[in-house]
Order: sequence, then C-alpha cells, then structure tokens
Amino acid sequence: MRTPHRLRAVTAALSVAALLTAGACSSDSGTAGTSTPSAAGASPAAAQSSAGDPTSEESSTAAADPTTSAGDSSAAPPATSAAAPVKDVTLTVWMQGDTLKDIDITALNKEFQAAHPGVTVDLQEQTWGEYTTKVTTGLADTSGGAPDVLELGNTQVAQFAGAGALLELSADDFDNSKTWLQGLKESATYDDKLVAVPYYAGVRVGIYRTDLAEQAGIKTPFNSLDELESAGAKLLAAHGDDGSYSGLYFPSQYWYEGISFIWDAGGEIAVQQSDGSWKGALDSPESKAGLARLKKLVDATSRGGEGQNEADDALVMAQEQAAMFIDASWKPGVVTAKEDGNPKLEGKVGIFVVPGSKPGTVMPQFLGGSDIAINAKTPNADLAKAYTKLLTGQKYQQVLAGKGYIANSTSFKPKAGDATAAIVVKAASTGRFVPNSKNWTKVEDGQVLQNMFDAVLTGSKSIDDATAEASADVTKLLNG
Amino acid sequence: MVAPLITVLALVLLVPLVRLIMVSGQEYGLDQLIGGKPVRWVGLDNFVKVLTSQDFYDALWRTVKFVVVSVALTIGLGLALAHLLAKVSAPVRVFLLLSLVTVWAMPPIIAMPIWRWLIDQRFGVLNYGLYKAGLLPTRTFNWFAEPFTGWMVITAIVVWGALPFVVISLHAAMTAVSADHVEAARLDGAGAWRVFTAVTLPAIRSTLLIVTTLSIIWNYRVFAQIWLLRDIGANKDSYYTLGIWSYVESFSNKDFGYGAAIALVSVVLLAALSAVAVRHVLRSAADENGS
Repeated sequence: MRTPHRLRAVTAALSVAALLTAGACSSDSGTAGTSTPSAAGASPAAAQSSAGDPTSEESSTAAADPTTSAGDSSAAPPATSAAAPVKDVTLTVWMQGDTLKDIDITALNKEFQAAHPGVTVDLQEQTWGEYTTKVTTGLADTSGGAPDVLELGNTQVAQFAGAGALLELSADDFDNSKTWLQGLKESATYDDKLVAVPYYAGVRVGIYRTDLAEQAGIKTPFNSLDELESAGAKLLAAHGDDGSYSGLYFPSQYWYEGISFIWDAGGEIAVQQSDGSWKGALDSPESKAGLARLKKLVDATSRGGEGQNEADDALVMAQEQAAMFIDASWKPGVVTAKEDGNPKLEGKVGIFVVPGSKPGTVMPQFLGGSDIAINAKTPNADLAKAYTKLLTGQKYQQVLAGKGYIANSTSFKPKAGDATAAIVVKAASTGRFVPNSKNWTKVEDGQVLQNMFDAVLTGSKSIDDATAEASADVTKLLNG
Repeated sequence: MVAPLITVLALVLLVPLVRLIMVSGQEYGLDQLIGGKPVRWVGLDNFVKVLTSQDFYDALWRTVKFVVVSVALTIGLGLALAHLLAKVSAPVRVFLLLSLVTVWAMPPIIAMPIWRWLIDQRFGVLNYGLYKAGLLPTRTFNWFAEPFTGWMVITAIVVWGALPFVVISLHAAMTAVSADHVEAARLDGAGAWRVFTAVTLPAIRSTLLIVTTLSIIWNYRVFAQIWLLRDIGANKDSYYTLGIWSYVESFSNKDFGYGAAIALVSVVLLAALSAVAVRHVLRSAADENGS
C-alpha cells in the first residue's frame, strides 16, 4: 500500500470516465437503434413494417378504371391562397416512395407550383423502417426541418393525433369525402375529428399457384372457409407432407390476417366503453371461436410457419414451398420477381377473395394503407391543405386507381371484365381497422397479438390461456 | 490545446447526459415532445417505477446471465486461441490473425444480416447443414422460437465479434512472457498446464484483467446484435436486456422519462461494476510495481 491516495484518486477519475463513457453509450444506443432498420431492411425477413403494413407497390395485375362520379375537379387551388399569393415559401412534404412514381409526383408538384407562384415543394422521400421515430423527431423539430405535409401509415395516425401534433381538418375541403373507404376514414379520424385524409389502401387476398390448383382439380373462387381448407389439404397431400411444404402457408405470428378470423366469427380486438376507455375482447366466445377455426385451418394446411411472421411468405412460394398463402394483393409480383423471386412461376400465380366461414361471405380484412396529415405547427396551413387536396383529390387518385391501387374512395369502380381488379376491390370492401387509440402502437410494438397467435397456432398455450392473457394486455395498454 | 477538447467532450458527452438526467425526472412523452404540452416534474417517480417493476429485475437478471456466460466464453476461447497462435507456424499464424482482424473490422450492423441469412428458418444454410447432419429435428427450425436457443445464437454472435480483440491482446501479452522462465519451469519438470498456470498466467494477469473488465462493459451494453435478431421469433420481451428495454420504453412506447430512468439506473450499475473492476486492475498494477 505505497500509494493509497494516488490510487484512490485515479480510481475515482477512471470511474467518472467509465460513467461518462457509459452515459455516451446509452445515448448512443439510440443512434444504433435508429440506424438499425436500414440494415434490417436489407435482410430478407424485414420487409414487414409495423406501420400498419401499408401495402402497395406497382402492381402489374390489378387495374381499376375509375368510373368517375363524385368530386369537383381538384386542380383549382383553394380561394384562400389564390387570393393572396405567397412569396418564396417552401412547403416540406414527406412521402413514402411506394406511390411516388405511379402517381407522377413530379407532374403533381409542377401543377401545384404553377398554381401557387413563389411556392417551392420540397419533397423528401422516406422509408417505412423506423418511420415513427423519424416522424416523432420531425414533428418535434422547431428549427425549420419539420414537414408541413406528411404521409402516415394508417395505424400511425392515432398516436400523433393523440399528442395534438396533427392539424384538425374539415372533410368538406377535400374531394370524395362522402365516399372515402370506411377503414381508411376511421384511421384518419381521432376523437371524432378529422386529422388526416385517406390516401390509398392495401388489402390482403388469397394468392395461389394456378397450375397446381388445376392439376388437383381445384377451382376458385372458394365459397367458404371449409372449401379453402379442403383445397389446402388437397394441395398439401398432392405434394407430400414433408414438414416444410404448405398447402396454404400461414406463419404463426401473422396477426394482420389472423385477426380476420376473429372478425369473421364476430369477435373484436377491443371494444370502447361508454366512458371512452377500452376493454380487450380477444377472450370473448366469438373471438375464441374464430381462433379455433383458424387453428383448424393452419393445422390442416400449413407447415414450417412456427415462430415466423409474414415477411417471407412470397419467398416461400417462390421457392416452391407453398401452393397458397394470404397477403397483400401486390405480392404475386414479389413471387415472380426477376431478382429475388422465381420468374419461372410467371403466369402461374393467381389471386382470390378469402372466403368467410359462412358460405357465400367474404372474410373481413384489415385495411392497410396511408393517410396524408398536416403538421399542426406548420406556418403554411392553407398551402398544406391545398397540397393535400391535390394529392388525395379526384384527378390524382384516378391516376393511382388506373395503376391498380385501391384509391381512397368507393367511387372508383373496377373496370368491367377485369377479374383481378374486381377481386381486390371486393376484398377491400370488407376493410376493417384496429382500435383507434393513441396507445394502439404499444399493442403492436409490444407484440401482444403476434404472441397470442404464435402461442395458439404453435400450440404452446391453450386458446383460453392465450386469449385471457392477450386481452388483459390489450386492456392495460390501450388505457395506459 | 485542452480547451477545445474539453468543449467537444462536454458537448458530446456531458450535454446528452445532463439532458438524460433531466428527462428522467419528468413526465415526458409524445404530448410534451410534439404536442406542446407543459413538461411536468415528477421527482423520482420514474425511478421508483423502474425499481418496483418486475420487468426491471427480469431484464437485469437476463443481462447478468448473458454477461457472465458471454464473457466467460470470450475469455476462455480467447485464451485458448491466443495459446494456439503461439504454437502454430508463422504462415498459419498470419492467416489466423488476418481472419481475426477481418471479423474485428466488420461492424455489427453489417454482420447481422449475414448471420440472419445463415440461421434463417427456411432458407438458412446453417439450418440446412445441421438438418442434413441430423442435428436439427426439423428442416424449418426457428432458433428464436425458444428464448434458450435464441440466446445461444445471440451469445455465439457476440462472442464471435468479441474474440479478435481478446485474442490479439492476450497473444501480445503472451509473447512478452520470458522464454527463459518457461524453459526453466520445463526443466524443473512442469507439464504444459503447470507452465500455463505458474508462468504464463501470472505474467499476463494484468492484461487478462483489463480485457475481462472491458468485455464485461462491452457485453453489458450489447444492443445491435440483440435488436436485429429478436424479431425472428415471437415473445420479443424474452430478449429485453436493460438496454433493449430502455430503448423500447423510450422509442416504441414514447415514454421518454421512464426510458431515461431505466438508462440511468443501468449506467449507475455499470459504473459501480466498472469502479470495482478498475480498482482491482489498478491495485494489481500497483502491487506489481511495489513488489
């Protein structure tokens, strides 16, 4: 012990240094997390987005011809901004890349700028990975980097609306508001106030190998779930049940589609009480019946989906490991994609409407999609509204509908004779939405539904136990 | 010369830390951050919530288990490999060192997708190989279906990434062990194990201590490897370490105050641990100087 004092001093200094390093590390973990998704996005399993799965990319299959009816022409700018032309204003717009090319955003921006001299549209393309975090920081930004207009996944709207960060809107200011798709309109409404404008929707359909179905003598559409199940079992048997091949591939964490079975049986995720609070309803007899029906289907037709989510389902079909699966209507394009898919299956992948358990019914589907919202703090509210009107209005929605998207209004009808478009529109007509609470993302991020479906479908818990647990969690999180 | 350095350090370390401490004493969520609602000071409420939460003890226990296992494996394998490096011929040594440096040079964010592909449930080449070799029960084995096998994968990847530094440091320390001492011990009839414990180990003790201390600190705050893998299976909360839990509360649940409190508790625990370890290292260094 020759140098006790010096030793102590050095120890203290090093401890402080360690503390500082650790402090830096924990703030640095935030950075790591934010940069995470870009890497995760490159991995094969990360295409799923918690953003409410806004399903849409170019779909070469579906084409809807707008038999236009509703709506005044949207090209005319609103009177407010036309009256007093603004000088040198930049309107910052955050959009996801999905639709930009198909809606011809360049033309749209040119049209907007021509109608509003002195205004420049600064379009900033975003990606879905960690978009919630980016929007959070964007809306918190007071140094001029905040977006004025932004696209949000439909399940992302409620949390930002709940925090008071989105501008309240009036439906009359926008085209086709009487005929907006119900599922999208619900997602754009918070506390009975309109806080966003429906942009486009995505819906899930059955996707199947037409050649294999033909060989097995299976005809679509299916009239009921029982028919679908026996077709799946037949396709599984035709290939030979080797533990990894599926007649109908259904990954065990796939809550976006699993929830359809609960809705189909009359169940709900949660119901709002008269005092505004939420009560989980996953343990209702209806919900349990729906889950039992789903489990029967999965046990009979799906193999190797344990612990998986839906991110890779198209690849499973591309690798000829599944004869059918259920996912977004644009996924057939992923199955046959030249780069990562299997181009040999081109022309052999078809779609059908998922049938309900009662013969002749259509299974309700979760309606994914996007809404356009306006930052409550924008200094250019009128311009932002005008831009939103143009983006979601008759003219450009018609462009989107013409490219096979599910546009924001029921006024866009599928072209006569286009079977694919008819299927997609029929499936979208049943569109449902999740409980519209600002706390909903906690249920999604907390994996409550994923865990419940996983436990039930892998058999690790009984339906009673899994639903009781999940329902209690939903109640707690939605009211939290 | 010193002033700019201190300014930079203060800006990048002190400011975030002070802000973190402030937020941990507030009710601070989306309402405050983007909704413009007033910030409410809640004193130590967030800390009470952390310390009375079962989640905290679960996460802490998980973190401790992971750190103990991963550090033991890292140091054990590191010692073995460092020893191996000393025994092999020069070309093999160069090859081994190059491989190690390559692993070292690969950032976790880049390495993780590759690992994900290797262990992919359906398409992973590792799964395929193990299944063909009869080591996996099914072709479509999900490593993350059960926390135990999930943590096995995470631990393996973390150890893989941590080994190069440990091996190279220990190898460097071992080359400094006097050949005369080894020779003398041999002549006295010591076997390989005896030489290792009586001659090599005391000589590399301080390096070993420092490397172990650093490994503990690094593995305690492992983030990317767990974050980028845990979504493969269900029940992600089986993979909450203190760091992951803090991130989820802050950035998924948007409860920044609570998240900050978890981060601070975690930092204090690590600082206490580091202080003990650093003291130990210094004392052993002082003893050596004094002897």
